[in-house]
Amino acid sequence: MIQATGLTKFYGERRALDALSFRIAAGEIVGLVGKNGAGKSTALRILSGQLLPSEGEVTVDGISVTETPREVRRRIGFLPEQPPLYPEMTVRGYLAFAAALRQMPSPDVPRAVHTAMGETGLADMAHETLGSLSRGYQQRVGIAQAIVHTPKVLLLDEPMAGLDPLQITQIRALIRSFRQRHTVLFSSHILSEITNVCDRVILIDQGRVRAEGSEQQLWERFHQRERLLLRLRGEAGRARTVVAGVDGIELRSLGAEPDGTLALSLTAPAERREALSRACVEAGLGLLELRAEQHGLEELFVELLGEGRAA
Amino acid sequence: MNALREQAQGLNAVWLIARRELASYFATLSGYLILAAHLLVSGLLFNVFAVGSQPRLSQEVLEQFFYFSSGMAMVSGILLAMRLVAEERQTQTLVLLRTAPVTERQVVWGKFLSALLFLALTLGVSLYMPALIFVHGKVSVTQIATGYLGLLLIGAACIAITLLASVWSSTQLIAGVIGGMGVALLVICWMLARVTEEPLKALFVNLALHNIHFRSFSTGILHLRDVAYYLGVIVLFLEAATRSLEAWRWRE
Repeated sequence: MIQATGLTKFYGERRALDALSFRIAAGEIVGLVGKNGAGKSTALRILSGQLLPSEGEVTVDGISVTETPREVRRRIGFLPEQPPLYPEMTVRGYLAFAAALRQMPSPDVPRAVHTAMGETGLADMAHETLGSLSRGYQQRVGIAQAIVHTPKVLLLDEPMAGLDPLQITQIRALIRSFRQRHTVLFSSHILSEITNVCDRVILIDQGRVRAEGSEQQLWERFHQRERLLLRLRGEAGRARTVVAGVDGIELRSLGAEPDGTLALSLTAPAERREALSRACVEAGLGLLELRAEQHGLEELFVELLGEGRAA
Repeated sequence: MNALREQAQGLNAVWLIARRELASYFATLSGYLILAAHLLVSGLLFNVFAVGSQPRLSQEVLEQFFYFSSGMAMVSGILLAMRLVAEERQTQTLVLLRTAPVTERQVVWGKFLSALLFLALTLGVSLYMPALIFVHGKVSVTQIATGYLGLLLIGAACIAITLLASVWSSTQLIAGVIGGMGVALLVICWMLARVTEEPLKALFVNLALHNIHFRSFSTGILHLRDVAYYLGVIVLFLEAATRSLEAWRWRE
C-alpha cells in the first residue's frame, strides 16, 4: 500500500532523510519510531503530499506522491502532531468541512460525519466548539477528520503526544480498531505507546531505517541471548566463580541488596537457565530467584540507538 | 467530461474554502471590529469632509464621499486579508488544506473570495450615506453604482496584495505591515511620477493604485482600462500568492 524508495530530504544543508526505504502492506498498522529529529515527521509530511522529497520516490496505493499528489491526497487521512482545528467551528461543522474538502459527495457527508463521530466517541460533542474541548477530545476530532472520508491510508504523527495515561489508552484502542479497515502508519518517540498497537515497527535514526519487524522479530534479530536476573544468598566471590563456571553465561553486574542477598544481572542463552540453577544449588548458594528480565521495545531502542537517549 | 467535472470540483473547493473563511469573520470579533471601524470612520469623514459646512453640489459631495471611502476600502482590504494565510500558519491549521485534494490556486482564490465578500458587505452597509445624498439632492444611480464598483475593485486589489504578504509572513501583524507597505508603494507611484521624466513618468502614472485609476469611478465614469488595471493587479498578486504557496512544498 505504501512504498518509499530512497527518500532523501534536505533542509538547506541539513539532511533530514537519508535514502529512507520501507514498504507497508494493506491493512497493516506500523509504528515509525525514532528519537526527536530522526526524520519521522518529515517522512510523514512527504507521504501526505505536503513536502516534496529532494530525491527518491513514494507511492501510495500504487500512485506516485510526487507526480500526482492530489490523487494520493484523496487516499490518505493525515493527523499532524497538533490537530489542525479551527476553534470557532463546531465538531459537526468541522468534520463536514473536512469531508467536503476531501471531495466527498454532499449527500454522503452527514452520514460520514455521523460515523466518524461515533467511531471516535464524539457523538455527544457534535455541537461543541472545538476551542472549548479538552486536549483528549481535540485529539479525537483530529483523528475523526483524518478518517471521515474513509481513506485507505491513515498517517498519524505522534497521535498520543501530550495526552494523559487514560487518554493514551483510549487513543491506542481507537488506532487498534482501525486494523484491516485502513493501513495505518503512525510515528512516536515514546516506545511504550507503540507496544500492543503495531503489527510492525520501523526504527529510524538520522533519516535511515535502522531496523524493522515485529517487536518479537526485532528482539530475536538483535538479541539472541536473554537477560537474566539471579538473586542468591551467599558470598559474592563464590557466586561470581559459580556463574563463571557455567558455559555461555556472561555476568553483567553483581550487587548486594539491603537484605544481604546478592542480585546478579546476566546474559545467557535461554537453555542455560537449568544448568545455572543446578550449579548454584550444588555450590551451596541459596537460590532465591531466577527469571528473565522484562524487556520491551524501549530497551531495544536504547540498545540500537545508543546510550539511553530514548524519549 | 472529466475536465468539466474537475472544473466543477475546483469551483466547489473555492466556494467551500470561501464559506468557511467568511463564517470565521462572523464567528470572531475581528470581522465585527473591521465592519464597525469602517462604518464609524467613513461616517465621520462623510460628515466632516464630504458634507462639510459649505453648500456644495450633490455630485461633488458624492465624489468626496467616494474619495474618502476609497481610503477606508484599502485599509479594510489590508485588515481583512492579513490573517488569511498567516493566521493558519500560526495556528497550524493550514495542514488541513495542504493535505486535501485541492490546489494552491483554489486555496488562494477561496480565501480571496471570502475577504472580497466581507468587504462587499461592509461597503453595502455604508450605502445609507450616498442614499441620503440621493434622497436630498440630485445624483444619478449610475454614479453611485460606478463609485461602489471602484471601491470594490480598489479594496479587492489591496486584499490580493496583502494576501501575498500573508503567504510570505509568519504572523498576521507582519503580513499587515508588508501588505500595507506594498499598497502604500503602489499608491505613491503618482508622487514618483511628478519627480521623474518620461518614460518612467508614464510608467508610474499608470502603476499608481489610486490616482488616475480611481478618480473616474468616483465621478461616475467607467473606463475599461481602469477596470482592467485593477483586475490585472488582482490576478497578478493572487498568482504570485499561489506560486509562493506551491513553493512551500519544496522549501519547508
